[in-house]
Amino acid sequence: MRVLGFLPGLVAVCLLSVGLNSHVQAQVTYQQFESPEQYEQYRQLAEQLRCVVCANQSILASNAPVAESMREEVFDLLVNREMSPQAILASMKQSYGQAVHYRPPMTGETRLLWWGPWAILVLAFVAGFFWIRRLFKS
Amino acid sequence: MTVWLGQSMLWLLVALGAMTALWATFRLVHSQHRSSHYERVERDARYLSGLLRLMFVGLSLLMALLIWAFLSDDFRLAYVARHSALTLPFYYKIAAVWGGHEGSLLLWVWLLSAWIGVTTFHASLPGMLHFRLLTIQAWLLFAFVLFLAATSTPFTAAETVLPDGLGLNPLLQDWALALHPPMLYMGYVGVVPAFALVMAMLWHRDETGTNLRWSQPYLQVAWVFLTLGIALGSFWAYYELGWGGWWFWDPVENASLLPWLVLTAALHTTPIASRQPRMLGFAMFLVIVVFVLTLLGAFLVRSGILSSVHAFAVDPTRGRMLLLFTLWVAALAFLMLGLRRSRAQSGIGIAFLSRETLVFFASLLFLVMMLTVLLGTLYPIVIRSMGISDLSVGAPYFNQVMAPLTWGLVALMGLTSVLSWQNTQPRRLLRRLTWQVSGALIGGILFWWALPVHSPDTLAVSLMASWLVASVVVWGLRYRAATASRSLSDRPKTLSGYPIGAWVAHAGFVLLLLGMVLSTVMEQALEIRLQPGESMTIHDQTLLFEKITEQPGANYLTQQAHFRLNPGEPGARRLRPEKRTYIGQKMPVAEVAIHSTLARDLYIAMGEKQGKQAWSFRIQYTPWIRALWTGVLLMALGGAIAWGQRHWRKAQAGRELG
Repeated sequence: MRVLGFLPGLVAVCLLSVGLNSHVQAQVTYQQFESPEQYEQYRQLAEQLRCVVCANQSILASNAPVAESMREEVFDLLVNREMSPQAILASMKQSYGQAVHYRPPMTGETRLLWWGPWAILVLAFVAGFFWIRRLFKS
Repeated sequence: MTVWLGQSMLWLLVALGAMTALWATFRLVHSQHRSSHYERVERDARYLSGLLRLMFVGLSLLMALLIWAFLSDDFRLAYVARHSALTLPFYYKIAAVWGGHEGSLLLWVWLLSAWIGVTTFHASLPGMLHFRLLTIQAWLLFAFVLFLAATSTPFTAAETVLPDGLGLNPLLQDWALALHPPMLYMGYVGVVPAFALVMAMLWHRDETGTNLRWSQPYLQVAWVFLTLGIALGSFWAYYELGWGGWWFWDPVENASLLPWLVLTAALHTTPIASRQPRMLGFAMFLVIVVFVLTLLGAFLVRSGILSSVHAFAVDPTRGRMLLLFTLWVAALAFLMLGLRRSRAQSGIGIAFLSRETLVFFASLLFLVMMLTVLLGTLYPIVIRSMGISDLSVGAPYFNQVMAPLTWGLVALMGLTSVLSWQNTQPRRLLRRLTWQVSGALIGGILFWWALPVHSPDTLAVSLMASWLVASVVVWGLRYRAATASRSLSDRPKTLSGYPIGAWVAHAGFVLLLLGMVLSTVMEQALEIRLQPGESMTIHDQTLLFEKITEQPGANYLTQQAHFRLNPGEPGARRLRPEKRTYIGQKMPVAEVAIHSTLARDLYIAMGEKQGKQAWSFRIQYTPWIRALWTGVLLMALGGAIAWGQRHWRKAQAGRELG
C-alpha cells in the first residue's frame, strides 16, 4: 500500500539510478562536500527523509539501493544546485509525497497531532486537580 | 509425530484451561449462595493452584518439544523450516524458537503460566480474594492458550519437507536480540498478577487498599525486566542495524515504551494507594492501563498495520482477533472500575503540599507522555486508513513534543526531596527549596561550563541533571536527619531500611538523561571513502584502514575491514567491522566494530565497495553513550534492589515476630 503512494517518486528514482549507473557514481561520502558545514546539512536532511521502500528507516540509515539514489538526489540538490535545506525538503516532498518527510507539516489534518499533547496535558492537569481535591483534609 | 504430539497436547491444554476456569467460576458462584466455609475455600484454592501449575507443566513440555524440534532440525514442522537451518549454531536454534509469531506467542503464554504458577505459591492474601485472583488468571491463561491453538500453533506440518530450512533472519542472529523477547515478555506478563489482583479486588469489593501491596513485587520485577528488554532492543539497534543511533521512535519501539511509561507511574502510585484508600481508584486505573497497553502492543506489533524494521512476527489475519480481545478486556476492566470503584472517604487525607500530590501529578504526566507517543504512533495509520493523506511521524515530531514533557517530569521528580508524605510545612519547604535550587544552579552551570559544547540543549540537560542530583542529595540528608532524631531502637539497623533501590534507580535516570542528550548533541559522524593504507582523523583519534579480507564464518561469508586505531602509539588497537552474507540470503548484514572507553565510543560500520579498492565507511565518535547504557542498567539494578530490600525487610519482620 505504502509503495503505491510513492509510485511517481519510485519511477523517478529508477530512472535516476539508471542514469547514474552509466557512469558509476560512488556513494555519497564526506570527501565530496565542499565544507564540513555542508556535510552536516546533508546529514541532517538525510536523517529526516524516509527511505520509500524500506520498513521505516531514514535514507541515512538504510543501505537499500533506493535509499542510496535518494541520498545522491539530496547531494545533487545541495551541492550541485546549491539549494537551501528548506527548498530541498520541499522538492523531495514534491517528488515522493508528504510521507517522505519524518516531520509532519502543521496543516489542517495534523493540527490534532501537534496540539493534541498540549491539550491532553492541560485537560489531565485540570481534571487531576479537581479529582485530587477530594483527598485533601477538610 | 512432533506435529501430532504438539497439536494434541496444545488442544488438551485448551481443554484443561477451559475446565480450570469454568470450575473455578462455578465454585465461586456456588459459594456466594451459601456461607462460605473457610476450609472449603482453602481446599478449592489448593485444587485450583494444582490445576494452574499443571497448565504450567503442560506448556513447559510444549516449549521443550518445540525447542527439541529446532535442535534436531525437524523440518517436517513448517515453523522450524521457516525459521531455522542446518548450519545455524545451536544457540541461535534455541533463539529461533521465538524468531517468528507462533513460537514467540508460545514463549509469551509459557511465561504467563510461569508467573501464574508463582502467584499460586504466594498466598498472603485473604482466601477468597486469592481464589478470585487465581480464577481471573485462569480465564486469561485460557484465552491466551485458545488463541495460540486456534490461530498460531507452531505445530503444523510442512507441505513439502525440505532437506534444509530457510534460515533465521540474519538480523536476529545476535545475542542481544536473542534475549530481547524473553526479557520483554517477562515484563509484559509480570503485569498480569497485578491486573488480576485489581480485578479481584473490584469483584470482591475490597476497599481496604492494603491488599494492593501484594502486587508491588510483581510490578517491580515486571518493571526491571521491561526496562532491560527495551534497553536490549535499543542496544541491538545501536550496534546491529549499523546506523549509529539507539532510538528511532519506531512504532515497534514505541509499543514497548507505552506500557513502560505507565508501569513506572503505577510502581510509584500503588504503595501510596495502600496507605491512602482514596488513591485506590487511581492506582487501579493505572494498573489496568498498563495491562491493556501490553495487549495493544502485541496487536500493533503482530498485526502488520505498522511498517517497521523491528517487527519480525507479522500476521494480519490474527490482528483482528488480538484487537477484539484487547478491546473486550479493556471494556470489561474499565466498566468494573467505573461501577465498583471505591468511593470511600476513609483515610486521614493529605495536604496539597505533599509527596502524594506530587506522585499523582507526575503519574498524570506519565499518562500524558504515553498518550502523546500513542497519538504519534497511531496518527499516520488512522489518517491513511481514512484516506485523508499519507504522512510519516518520526523522530523530529517525537523529540520536539516529548522533550518539554520530559523536562516537566524531571522538574517534578526533583521536588520529591523537598516534600514530605501527607503534609509539608511551607516554611521548611521554602528553606529546602532555596538550598536545592541554588545548589542545582551552581552545579549545573559549572557542569555546563566544563562541557566542550555550549548550546541551549547542553545547558538544559546540565541544569536538569544537577537538579536531580541535588534532589537525591537533599533526600539523603533529610533521611539521615530524620533517622538521627529517632530513638536508637527505631532507626534502621541494616542498609535494607534505607531506600537504596530508589536512590540507585533515580541516579541511573540522571545518567540516562545525560547520555541521551549529550551523546546526541556531541556525536560526530562521517560517511567516508577510504583506500587501503589511507587513514582518517575523527575528533582526536586516527584510524588507519589497512586491508579487506574475506573468510567463512559458521553460516556466513564475511568481508572484514582491518582498522588500526592510533597507529604509531604503543599498543595500538585493531577494529574489524564486517559485512556478512548469510547462507541463503542476498542482502549482506553489517557487523559494526566499536571501541569503547568510559568517555566515548568509536564506531565503524562498513558501507559499500567503491571502485576497485576503496570502500565507504560510517565512522562515528560518540561521547557519553556509555552513560546512557550504564544509566539504564542502574535503573534496572535499582528496581531489583528495591525488590530485594522488600523481601529482606519481610524476612526480618518475620524473624522478629517469631
